[in-house]
Formats: sequence, structure tokens, C-alpha cells
Amino acid sequence: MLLLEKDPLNVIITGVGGQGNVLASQILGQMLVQKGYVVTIGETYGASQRGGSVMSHLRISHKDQFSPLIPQGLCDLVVGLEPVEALRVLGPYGNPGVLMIVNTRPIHPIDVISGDAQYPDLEQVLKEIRSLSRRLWTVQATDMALEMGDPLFSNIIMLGALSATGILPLEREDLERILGELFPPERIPANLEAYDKGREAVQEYSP
Amino acid sequence: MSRSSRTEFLLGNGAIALGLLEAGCQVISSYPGTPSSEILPEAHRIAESEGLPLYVEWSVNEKVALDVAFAAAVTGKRAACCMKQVGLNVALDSLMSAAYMGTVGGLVVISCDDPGPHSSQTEQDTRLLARAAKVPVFDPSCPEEAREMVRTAMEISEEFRIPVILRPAIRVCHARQDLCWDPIPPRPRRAEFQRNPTRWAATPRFRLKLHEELNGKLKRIEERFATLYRFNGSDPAAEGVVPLGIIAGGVPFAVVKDLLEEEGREKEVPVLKIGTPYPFPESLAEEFLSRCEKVLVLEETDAVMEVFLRDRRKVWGRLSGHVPWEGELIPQRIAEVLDRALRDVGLDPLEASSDPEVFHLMERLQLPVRRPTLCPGCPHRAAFYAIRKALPKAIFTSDIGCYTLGLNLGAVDTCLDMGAAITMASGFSQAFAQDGELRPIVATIGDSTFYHSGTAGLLNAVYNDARFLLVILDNQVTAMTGMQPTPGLGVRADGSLGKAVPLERVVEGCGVQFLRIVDPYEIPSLVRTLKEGWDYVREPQGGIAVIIARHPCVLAYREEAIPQKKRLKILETCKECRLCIERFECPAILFDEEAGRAAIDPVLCAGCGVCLQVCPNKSIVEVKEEAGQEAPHKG
Repeated sequence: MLLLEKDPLNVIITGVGGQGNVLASQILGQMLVQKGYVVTIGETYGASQRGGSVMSHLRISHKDQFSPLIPQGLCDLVVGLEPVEALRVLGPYGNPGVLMIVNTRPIHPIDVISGDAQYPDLEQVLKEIRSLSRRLWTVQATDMALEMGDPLFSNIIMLGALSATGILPLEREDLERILGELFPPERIPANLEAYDKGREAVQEYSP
Repeated sequence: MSRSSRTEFLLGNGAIALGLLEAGCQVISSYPGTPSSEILPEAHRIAESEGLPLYVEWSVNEKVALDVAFAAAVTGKRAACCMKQVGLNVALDSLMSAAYMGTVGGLVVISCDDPGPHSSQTEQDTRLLARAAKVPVFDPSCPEEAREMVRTAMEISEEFRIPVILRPAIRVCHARQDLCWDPIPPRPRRAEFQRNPTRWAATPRFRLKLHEELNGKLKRIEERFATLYRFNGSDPAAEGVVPLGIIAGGVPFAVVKDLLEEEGREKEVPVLKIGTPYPFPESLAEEFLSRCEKVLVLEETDAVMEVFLRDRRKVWGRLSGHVPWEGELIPQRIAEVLDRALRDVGLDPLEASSDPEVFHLMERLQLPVRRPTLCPGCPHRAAFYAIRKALPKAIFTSDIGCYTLGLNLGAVDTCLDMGAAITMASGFSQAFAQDGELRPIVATIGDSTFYHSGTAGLLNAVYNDARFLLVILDNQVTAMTGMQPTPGLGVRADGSLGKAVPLERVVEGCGVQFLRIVDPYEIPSLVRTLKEGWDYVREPQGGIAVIIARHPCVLAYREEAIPQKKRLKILETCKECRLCIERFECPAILFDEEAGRAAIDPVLCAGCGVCLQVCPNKSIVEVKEEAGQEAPHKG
């Protein structure tokens, strides 16, 4: 078992209802359980399946179970399926050592669409995230998923991208096994392809 | 055939399901509600894979569910009933009486709390209702413990012949952990019924006796809880008296334990964990209290254990103003409360604290809040749009489900409890009628909510000649809670086909004379029908008009809901009236500032094409036979 940088290593997967946040956390958790880690996940979704913010907390340890919520300021890694959601979690959970991997495609909240609120400039959002973190990687996951024919692939693309950063010991074979338990066989190749594409597409951000 | 142990990465609700099956539970009834909804399906799934005999049903409401499970327990089988915390209000009539009558087989009621609240109308604490009903309650701090507790709860229930509650909070229900289990041997029991009218049909004279019996059981259970060290207790005491101790239960226990360990202070501040808050194991708590100068009580969501601690001068919690009375005790909040308590007794404060600069930055950035909206393609949006169009000045009473989000479309004015769309419409109608006024009132209720609590209200409204329009939003599924079936189609909890009970037959059975069924995707037709309905409501010989707006949920039925996806675009003729954005509020229609007109987001668009009927100058059009459609939204 690869030694984690910290124990527990605290990971947040964040995004918008409908992006496959909960499924991504379940798959990531299971990939780590396969490797022998002890993982506790706390999901925050409630009624937010319908376009609200969704957040999963993963607490990864060599040996212990932890409470399902990450304490304030103690997140080590954020996987942001949406840029503003990635920035948002840094308020309560960020610290200068946090690592960030972010899908750059914004999803506009309904209040932004109706003109009651502003969506901040994307470059500005990425700069703020970079300034508040140790490292930032970006992925154009939604655009790649659209090219593959379904925006829902973006969560698996993000997991592929995460695996390429080497922060967590993720292996394709583990993903394949887990997909086999979750999906019918015909859906597996496309998801593996999404994972592979994510591995190739991740880029370190430099403003 | 033997099988080795098995491991799964289970949701807390899955862990509870597993515990029920390990306890030999044979009957589970439930009405779906966040955060409880996954318990029943998980139990069914695991029972199938283990080859265990299990009857599951989605009951039409929680009271029905509890009656069903209670009767099963009276036959000597072990039974459980699952619901969200507000569901227990509905089932309370049953629970109160069942506590007196007792059971034969074990009966565990699982009532899942929602501090926050994340997805409920109240933050009520199930433990208070347990106390009111005189029913023992277990309060798990993590999925694994929930599994163990539910097994113990079943044993206690059967041993003392009393219903027992398991109260997991949302953080336990929606946590995921790796759980391992050995093959579960089937231990089916045969149903029997021993007549005993003084118990099963007790009259008030016998009820007094049963009450006395119940109080005796609680006394003995309290003594048992005081020795239930698996769930209750503290680490070995430090020498002498410490300045500060903590009594905690449930999720706050897990959080405060992590926090103290993170800070390396677990020896300095001892924690007494209580997993069985009622009947409160007072002897354990009093012994702990005697070793602490002050005790901070951390529990969700109300003051329950705190009020059982006799020496008030020593106890800090909600009554003393140390712990907030509302909101979830998230780690940040517990850290604040603990930090203050540490300072107040003169101990070092916590080391970890948040960076105020980051907080200020976040405030300056003013990140847009995301409020939930109806999905693109949702038939409710079309229905609400039509309702607003037909009767813009009406009072809109509504109900609990996805469609409460109709408030974004200005078509929901009230939401009280399950079924109140109809009963509040009745009340409004009568209140205005008394002044000689016939106000237009449109009630909206979902199909599942109507089956749950709509019929009694409708019957009452017809009988008392209330006047309003009722639109039943029939998307043929309980969508909000995760797509559970309803009696409308007759699919049952195990996937088998039962007997369908169509809405229209129920509505007619309630005495309604005006009933129409319309597809809300056909907006003009629904508008016309609504106006017809309102005309009927107004006639002296009229009454309540019911319109069933029937179209399948786009998430549950996908292709069936939208058989032919339309590709849409918005022409340059768009006059920027923003009606499609503000009144129709489809998340897939945005305003493209650069182009100066509305645009369709192809990522979000469901292709329902309802917006084609909405644009007043026909600028939304269907794209046909065209290769690369331009994506107006840039990412």
C-alpha cells in the first residue's frame, strides 16, 4: 500500500446536482478500498439533485474509520466538477497545502441565468483557486465528454485526470472491476475510454 | 453450501438494511423520504443475494407502514418500518398506541433525522418523539454502529416486547463505509396470532394497566442500557476531577472525537458516549458528572440528554446557551462550541482555526448561490407555466415533492405538510367564502403525495363544498426521493406487479364530478382545461375541479418521457423579452450576452420542445436535418 501523504487524507469531490458527483465519490472510494485503504465517505446532497451544490467528503486512511465530515480547513485535495464549486469549498475547507483538480466548464446557477446574480470570470476563478492552493490542474472534462456524446462522462474523465496526477494510487484494473459491478457490460468500454482520455488531458495550470 | 464472508462499500442505509437482515427481520415497510429512502431497497437487494425470506412494501404513507409492520410483529415475526423524521409525525398515532400494546416479535422503527435541514420542513429530533411515545431509542454515530445497533434494538424489542426506534441522522444514512459480513442463515418464523383482547384491543381500563407495564419496561431497559458498554461509556478515567468533560451521542460524538484526537487532547477532555439517549442511562451519566467540573453536552438536534442531567450548574449545552438550538452540528460549529468551553474553564483553546483571510476573500467574491430548480424537460414546469397563464391571480397551495420548486415559477404560495395543498385550499376557500368571496385557488399535489395524504382532504373538501381547482401532477413516480414506484402503476417494492390503483378512480371515489386528464407538455390544452375547470368551480352547482396533469418524469422514464428529442435553437429574431428565462425558467435556456439573445445550452437541454410553445414571437425553433449545430454556450 502506497503511503499517503497524510492520514487521513481528506478529499472533497464537489459539483452541481446531476453531474454524477455521488457516483464519482463511490467509484473513487471503491478504487481505494480495493487497494486496501479504509475509506469513509460523507455525502451532502439532500434535495440538491436538482441543480444545487453537491459535495462528497472522502476520508482515506491506512487503518481507521473517521467521521464522515472533514473538519474546517483540513481538506487535502479537491476534485471540482465545476469551477465555482471548487472555489466555494476552499472557504470552509481550504488551506495553503491543498491540491486542486478542476473541470473548467462552468454551469450557471439559475439566478445567474435570470440576471439576479453574476457568474465570476472563469480566468479570475482559476487564478483565485491557484492562489489559495499548492497546485492546480485543469481539465476540459465537459467538452471532452460532449465529444464522446454525453456530458455525463465528465465525472469519469475527472477520475482519469486525477489518476494521472499520481496523488492517489488509482489503477485502471480496479476501475474496470468496479464498473463491472455497477454498470451493464455494454457501458463499460466507453467509461474506460473516458478515464483514459482524462489521464491524457490533465494540465497543470499556470496563469 | 457454504460461502465465505463478503465485503461491500455500503451506504449507512445499506448498513442498517444489513443489520436488519442479520437480526432476522422478515418484514420491512416504508414510505420513501430523504434520508431514509435507500434502506428498504438495500434490504431487498441483500436479501435476494443471500437467499433470505423478506417481505418488503412501499406503503402509501408512514402510518400505514407502521401499522403493517406492527401487525407482522404481533404474529411473532421480526419487522421494521423505515421513514424520515417527519414521517414519524404521520405514524405517531400508531407508535403511541403500539408502545402500550407491545409486540411479540421484535419491531424496530427507523426514523432518520435531518439536522440542517437538508431536505425537510423541520429539524425535529426523533428522540423527543421517542420520549413522548415512551419508546427506547438508539442513536448511531456511524454506519457500522448503526448496523450493530439495529441488531441490538431488535433483540431488546423482542425481549421487552416493546417497539424500539433507531434514529440515524442524515450523516449516518449518507455516509459510506466498507462493511464485511458472514453468510446470514435464514431463520424464518411462521406467523401466528394469539387472541388477547385485553392487549390487542385494550379498552381504557386495560390501557391503564398497559401503561403501568410500559413504565416498568422502561425502568428495566434503562438499567440494561447502563451496562450496554458497546454503545455507552467513556475511556478509562483520568485521576481525580477534570475541568471539562463531554457527553455526546450520534454524529456529534464522531465529530468531537476526531477533533480531540486531531488536536491530541483526548486524554485531557474525556468523552462519555451515549448511544441510547432514552431511556437515559442516568447512573452512567451521574458517575461521569462526578468526575468533571463542567460537562458540555453535544447532541443533535434538540436538548434531550441534557435535560436528564440533574446538576444543572455543571451542565453546558443548549439550555445554558453554549450550543445553538438550530442548524446541524457540523465540525466547524462543534469546534466553535468546544473552543468556547475550553476557554471558559481556563484550558488552552483549539489550535486549528480557519484562515479569516480566506473567509473574507470568499465574501468579496460573492460566489453565486445555487438554488435547486426543476430539471430541463420536467413536466411540472410545463404544468406550472400553464397554471400561471390560465389563472395568474390565484392563490397557489402546493405540497411536498420536486414540484415545491414551482415556487421559482411563481406558482407555489404555500407548502405546509404532506397533503396540505388540498386541505389548505379547502381552508382558504371556506375563509373567503365566509366573506362572500370566491377567490381563485389552484392546489398542486404530486401523485405519490396524493396517495400518501390527499384522499382524506379531497373527500373532506367535496363533502364540505369547498371550491378550488386541484391539479394532480402525475409523473408516475415518487421522483424527489429517488424514483420509487406509486400505486398508480402498481409496481411494487420488490419489482413485482401488484394491482394498480389509478388516480382517476380514487378521485372519482372521493365524489369529484369534474375530472380531466391532460398532458402538461400540451400547454394550450392544459390552459384551456384549467379555464374550463375554473368555470365549473364558479358555477353555483359546481364544486371541486380536478385535473390530472399526466406526463412521466424525465429522469425516471427518459425515452418514454421524451420519445423524440428535439434539437432546438433560438433565432436572431429573439426580442430579448426574457420570458423563457424568467417565467419558464428552464435551466437549459440562458442569455447569451455577446449575441444579445437567449440561447439553448445543448449540454442541459432535454429536447422536450415545450419551450417552442412558450416563446411569444416563435424565435425558438426546432433544428431539422442539419449537421453541426452551433453550440451557443462557450465553456
